[in-house]
Amino acid sequence: MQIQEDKQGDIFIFTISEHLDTASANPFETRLLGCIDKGELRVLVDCTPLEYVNSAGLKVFLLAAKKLEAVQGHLVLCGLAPSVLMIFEMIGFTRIMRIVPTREDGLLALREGDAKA
Amino acid sequence: MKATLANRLAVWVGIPAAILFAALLWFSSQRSVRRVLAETESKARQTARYHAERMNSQLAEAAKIPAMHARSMESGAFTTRETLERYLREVVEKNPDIYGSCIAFKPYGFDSTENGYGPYFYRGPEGIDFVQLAAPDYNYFQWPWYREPRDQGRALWTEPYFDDGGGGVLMTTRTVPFRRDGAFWGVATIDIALNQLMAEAGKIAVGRSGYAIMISQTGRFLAFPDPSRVMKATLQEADPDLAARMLAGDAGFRRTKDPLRGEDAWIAYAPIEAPGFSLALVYPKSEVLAEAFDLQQEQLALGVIGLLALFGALTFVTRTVSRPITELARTATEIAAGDLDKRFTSDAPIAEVQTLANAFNKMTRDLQMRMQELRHTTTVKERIEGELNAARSIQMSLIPKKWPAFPDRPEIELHALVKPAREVGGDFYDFHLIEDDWLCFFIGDVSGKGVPAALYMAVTKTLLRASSSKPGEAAEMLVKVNNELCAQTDSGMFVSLLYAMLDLRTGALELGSAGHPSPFILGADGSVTPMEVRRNVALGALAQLDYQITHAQLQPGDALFLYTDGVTEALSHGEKFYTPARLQIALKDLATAPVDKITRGVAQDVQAFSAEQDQADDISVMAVRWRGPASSTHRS
Amino acid sequence: MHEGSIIIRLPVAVSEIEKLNALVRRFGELHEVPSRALYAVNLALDELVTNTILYGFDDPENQEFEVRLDVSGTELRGELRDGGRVFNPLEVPPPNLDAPLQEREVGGLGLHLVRSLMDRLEYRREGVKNVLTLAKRIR
Repeated sequence: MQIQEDKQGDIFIFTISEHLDTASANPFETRLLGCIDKGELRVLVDCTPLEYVNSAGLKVFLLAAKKLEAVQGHLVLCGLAPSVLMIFEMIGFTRIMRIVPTREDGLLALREGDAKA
Repeated sequence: MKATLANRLAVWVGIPAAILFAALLWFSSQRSVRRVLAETESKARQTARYHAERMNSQLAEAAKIPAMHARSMESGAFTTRETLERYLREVVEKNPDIYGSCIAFKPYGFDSTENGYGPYFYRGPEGIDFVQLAAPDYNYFQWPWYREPRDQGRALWTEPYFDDGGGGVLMTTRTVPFRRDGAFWGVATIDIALNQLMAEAGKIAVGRSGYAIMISQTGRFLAFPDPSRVMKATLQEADPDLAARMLAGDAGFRRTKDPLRGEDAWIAYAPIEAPGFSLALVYPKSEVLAEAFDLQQEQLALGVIGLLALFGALTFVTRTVSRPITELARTATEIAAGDLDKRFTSDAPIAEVQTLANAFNKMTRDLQMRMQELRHTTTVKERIEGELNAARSIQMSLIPKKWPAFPDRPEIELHALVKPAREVGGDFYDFHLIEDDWLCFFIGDVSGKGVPAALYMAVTKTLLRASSSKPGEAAEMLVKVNNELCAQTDSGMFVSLLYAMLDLRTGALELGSAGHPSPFILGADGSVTPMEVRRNVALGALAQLDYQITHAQLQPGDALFLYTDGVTEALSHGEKFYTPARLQIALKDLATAPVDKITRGVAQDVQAFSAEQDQADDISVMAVRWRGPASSTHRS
Repeated sequence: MHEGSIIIRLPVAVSEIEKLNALVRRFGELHEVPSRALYAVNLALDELVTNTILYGFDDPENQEFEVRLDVSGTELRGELRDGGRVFNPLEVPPPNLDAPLQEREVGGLGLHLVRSLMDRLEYRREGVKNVLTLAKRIR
């Protein structure tokens, strides 16, 4: 599981790889929650390469979203493939997280500072 | 011949079909031939009859004329020569079928002054010619055409003859007698030139190469393909049987030899009744048969075409089956060569082939799935795990684990445990009573690892059990076991052993060490004392060695602590050994504890010491406490 | 789609989940199972097996679980058998999808996914084993 990290202005960007499952959820959790602990408030997770995610991975997103909301931060997800988006819909994450189609949309959403759930 | 589907079908379907075909064809053609022949015969008969009757009616017609003459004469007509001759001339003129006609009177019958009057008109070369037959050099009274009707008193046809007087023509005469006053007066005749009749006979189409024969009432040839025999030869000479039948006036059919060439022929004959002639149509047998043969050939050709079509169909069908099979074989070869993604498809409209294709592809899929499974489940690591599990099972099954060890011997408290390393190190222990008064116990460590070590351990344990010694015989026992081990095993492994024999009544201890660390004595007062047991060579290393025993004495309440070097050589994170010194310190805290606390306590301490390090060797410990002679302890 | 079935037995260990996924995917590939159904069943099995491995056994050493996969005319069916403690995933209450972010609970997501993804989900206890049957229609 290779996670790329990037920073554009004050937006922190994670690009995750194809599988976010039980094995790879822990390291991702450490890095994502870790960066929020370090004070990042605008976080974009680019899920373009993501093909497969299970509840272990989904849990990480939920924890990150909660953590960011608590500090008035914003989390945006972009590039979700249809099958992955379907999973997010099934567990109701689309109601509580900002999900946009492309990376540009994500950067725009975070720049506007408006990441309403 | 290759056992291909096509060949098998050819043999098992094609050949029987061909034979059946051929048989049917044969019977059918035989029937056709017979039918053709029957038809030919019937046609021949009909044709013969037809022509014979036609000729017959011609002649019958002509025969009316002299009858008419006769009646005319009898009724008094033609009293003068002129009228008679004129009449006669007209008759000949008006009837082209007749050659000539004559009315011949008996001597002095017409004119009492003349001896014979026979006017005769005939068709000469330039028209109607006249001849007076009553000529000095022509005595017509002799001629059959005059004589016979006069003598027989009836009309008749004469036997054909050449008429010199009238023109040298072959003819037959119908002659009718007439009477005056009840007596013979004369004859009226017409002549039929037979050449016409013969020509007609000759014109009859008798197949392609057949011919007609006409014979007179005496059998002489009237019409014959060979003119030289006409009027000269008779049919009786050529074929008496046929002649007899024909002369008898029969109509019929014979298969016989033809009168002309003597070859096989079919002859249909019918009478020309009026003159008593007979007509025969001769069909050469070869021609008759040729027709039938043509038919047969036609049918044969059809049959052969049919057979070819059958074989063609068979080949086509087999190809639709054998082609997919060949393709399947080729695909199978490609798959076997390693291309497992290949699938077999066929558009052959045959259910069996589709079933085969599906089964084959399923098999390939299953094979690929198996391979995937194997990839995941048979890693080297897991093969080793399997083996290690086996070794561990063997080891665990060989060491007693039932506690307390001697529930009805309160003077004995005994506990032991083995914590096997990941790769089993071959530690073991055992204990048993000898004759109620001695406790024999030992702990050992086989030099190798894994299944071989576990097996070596099993052998050692068995030998020790079998050689279980009496007190005082420990040394001999060790010698014997050592020699046996060297003899029975060839693996280069050996086993270190600490062997102890305790007299339960006195506390006397015999100890034998074969390359094994010496035990500790845990005093009832809490002291921990390392023992010094004479160290001999480990068992199984070298044969014919001597073993020395060390003697010691336990006080009631003392315990003996035995262990293997897995304890003292356990490594910590910092690569430090546990060491006997540390063991001693650990035992200090446990010296008076119950035996199972001692063993577990030490084991835990060692494990805490080596923390996250992989346990390199088996850790084995045993604690044995002697409470004193039996009488001084509770008996439960 | 080709009919076929397979039985996969693996040790109860987290490292085996990836192997199970690979085998399920390969099976689906070879039998040309429509990708939607395969994805759903694969994910469902992932969640269920993870549960079993993490929570089903006191001592998972030397234990194994069994997954039976079946492609038939109309459905892709899976059957998970394990000898762990009695656990009926159908009894786990679903998460509250209407709750706001801070009140959303972390647990129960996996099992909810399983229920949403599968057309058919049945549990029974057979002797000492949990037997969970799941199925997804493919036609």
